[in-house]
Amino acid sequence: MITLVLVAGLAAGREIWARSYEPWIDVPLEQVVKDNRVGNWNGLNSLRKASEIAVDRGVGANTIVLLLMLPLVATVVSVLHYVFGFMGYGIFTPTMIAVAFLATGIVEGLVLFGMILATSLFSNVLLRRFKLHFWPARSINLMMITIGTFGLISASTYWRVFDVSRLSVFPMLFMILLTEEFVRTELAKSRKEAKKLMFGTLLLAILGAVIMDIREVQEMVLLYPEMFLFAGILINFAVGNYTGIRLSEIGRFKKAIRKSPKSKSLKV
Amino acid sequence: MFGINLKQYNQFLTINERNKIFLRKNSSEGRAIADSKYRTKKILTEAEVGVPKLIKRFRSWAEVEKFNWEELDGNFVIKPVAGYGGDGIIIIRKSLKSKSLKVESGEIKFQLMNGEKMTVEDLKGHCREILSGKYSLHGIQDGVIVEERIKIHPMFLSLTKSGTPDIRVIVYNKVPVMAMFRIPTAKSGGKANLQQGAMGLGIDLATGITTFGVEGKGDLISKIYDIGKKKLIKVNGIKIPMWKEILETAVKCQKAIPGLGFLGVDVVLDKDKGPVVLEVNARPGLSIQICNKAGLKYRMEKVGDIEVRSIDHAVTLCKYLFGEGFFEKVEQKEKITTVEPIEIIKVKIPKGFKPEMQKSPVLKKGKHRVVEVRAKIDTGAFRSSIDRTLANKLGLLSDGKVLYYRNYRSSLGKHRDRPVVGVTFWLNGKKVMTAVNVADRSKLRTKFLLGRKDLGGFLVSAKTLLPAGGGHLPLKKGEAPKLLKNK
Ligand SMILES: Nc1ncnc2c1ncn2[C@@H]1O[C@H](COP(=O)(O)OP(=O)(O)OP(=O)(O)O)[C@@H](O)[C@H]1O
Ligand SMILES: [Mg+2]
Repeated sequence: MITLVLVAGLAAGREIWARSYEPWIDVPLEQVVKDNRVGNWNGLNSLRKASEIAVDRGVGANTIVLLLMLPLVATVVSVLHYVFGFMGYGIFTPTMIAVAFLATGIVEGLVLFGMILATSLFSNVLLRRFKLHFWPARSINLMMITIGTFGLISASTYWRVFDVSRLSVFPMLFMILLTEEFVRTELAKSRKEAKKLMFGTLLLAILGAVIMDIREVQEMVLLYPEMFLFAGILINFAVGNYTGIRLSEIGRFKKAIRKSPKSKSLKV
Repeated sequence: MFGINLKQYNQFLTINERNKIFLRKNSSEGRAIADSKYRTKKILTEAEVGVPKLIKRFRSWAEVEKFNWEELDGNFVIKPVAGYGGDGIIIIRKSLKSKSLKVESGEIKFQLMNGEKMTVEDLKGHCREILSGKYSLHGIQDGVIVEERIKIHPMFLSLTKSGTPDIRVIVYNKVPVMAMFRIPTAKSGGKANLQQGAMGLGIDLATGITTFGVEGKGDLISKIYDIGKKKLIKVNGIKIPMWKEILETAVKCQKAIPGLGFLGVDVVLDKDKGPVVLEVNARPGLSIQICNKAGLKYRMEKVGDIEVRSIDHAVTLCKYLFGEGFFEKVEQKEKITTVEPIEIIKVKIPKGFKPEMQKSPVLKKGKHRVVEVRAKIDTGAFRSSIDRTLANKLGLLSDGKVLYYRNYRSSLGKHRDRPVVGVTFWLNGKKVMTAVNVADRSKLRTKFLLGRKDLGGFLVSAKTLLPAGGGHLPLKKGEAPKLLKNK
């Protein structure tokens, strides 16, 4: 929890700093592609060439960056899981939420998610007494979320807290998926477990989003996509064969280490 | 790194490694059996392993509706077929129908372990939820089983009233490698799952006596409440009844499901039937290492390539390889005894064996027969060793006692098989059960060498470490590498 707040804080700080002090952030990514032509196709630069052509034909460089970064974020998430012991709802939910955060901005994303989660929990309490079937109950829940989102949009246009233009339906859907996971886990397991996994997912997503949000990384991915892909495969093979201890397990097993009695043998 | 000795962690089975072993040692067929409590029950019944009696299985809502719930008289358990971690299990203690005069259907109340009451409608609702997959791994359709409730064994009534304790035994390559005793608490809803907040006590495999304790998923505990004595007692020193049978049952389960090379067996003790298997897990939890304060990986490596001949052999193996030894007399304050360079130990003679001893007489120690043997302490050796002729005379080379053969290359470069046997002996009154190398010591004065593995808890007199005749002779420079290579 504390880690989450810290990371969120850091991410927000970085974002604000980036928006105000990095003038070149306004140089569109398309320009980066246009300024660095790749030359002739030689097989090894297929991806780069393909993205160049796509940008020339009017596909947003942002879209391409996101596309290329998706496996990168998934890689980061799996490293964090298998080596550091972070827990979340699988690998795709954190990855998707990371993308959602990237679209909305991390702070905005968290607010949106908080709203959706609150509405969801509220509607559950409300609907429980009617003992409806599961799916109709979820539909009603969805309606409430829609209304809530409208509320959020109007509120932010009024107070101009958020950049409304960044709110779109896809991040919202991803977040609804996360709340669904939360509700399911809470029902089947416990609220504690559900909370743990949700915070874990958010943490992973924020870390992923922070990495994807770094302008330098975005440019690198755009300019050297093959290299990133190759590194990703290497890392995943390494992690996939890793049978060592997770960082989080060290604390757990520490208690299982016996203190060897000092009397075992006398040193002469 | 970070000021901790990472080497100490090598003994543990980590999540990452467990998941790999789960994939490598357990076939998809084996996993499918373990994932279905119904199929497990069927297969174990065929293999003549005790299981709780199946009352009913539901595969659809219609079957739930059709079932005559009124005929149930309490003492049953409702479980999701593919559940895990204790979720979705309802344990019903008794029905309350006799109390009310006129009961309409749906009005009958059942009482759970914690006193909570449920109507037939509630139970049906729960079954429907199970069927719709609420407790299965990916929310896929599931089945329901209703089975008899195994009551709390009278021996355990002083430890819990909230539910039936169970014993988790991890079996690898047909050998039990670790076990824990799990006690339900009020918090765990009568279920003995650590995730639910139950307590787990490590068990010494040799004796079935508890060692250390853990609560929930990782908090060490040293005391538990004894309801009978109305006070906290130590977590160690609790003897599990029918220990040998429990181990045998666990091994039988692995034999019955050959697809599982690595599994956790959940056994409960029934007052009449003895050990009864609730379920098997293809991916057992790892907290068992905490309440045993021991590493699974190290133990699994030890039995990994032993050819296990029989259930008896498997049980002997685990007792001698993984027995704790010094938990035998936990009630006594752990006092440290000093041992001299040469000690007289009392070696137990296997039951029914007629020893051919000429010089030393066969003595009695409790209900055991023992022979006194001169033993030399050698902290330079890890494992103890015994002379081949002596071992033979004591009946330790008989089939049941040889744990396994260790392949080694003799100094002449020939491959030999050296037996490792299970030996029980008493050193200064302390019972030690351990695995001992058989070696040729016929030319040496002492026929038994005590290695440091079996000297835990003893203070070794400093005289010992001076090189004595027949011990490790000081090596000349340049000689060591050659010797090492030959090992
Ligand atoms: N027939 C029964 N009689 C009494 N208690 C039972 C019975 N079946 C289950 N229990 C209680 O519920 C607990 C969990 O049961 P079981 O092992 O079958 O479930 P599980 O969800 O598969 O657990 P896990 O996978 O974590 O081992 C047992 O430890 C026991 O305390
Ligand atoms: Mg179980």
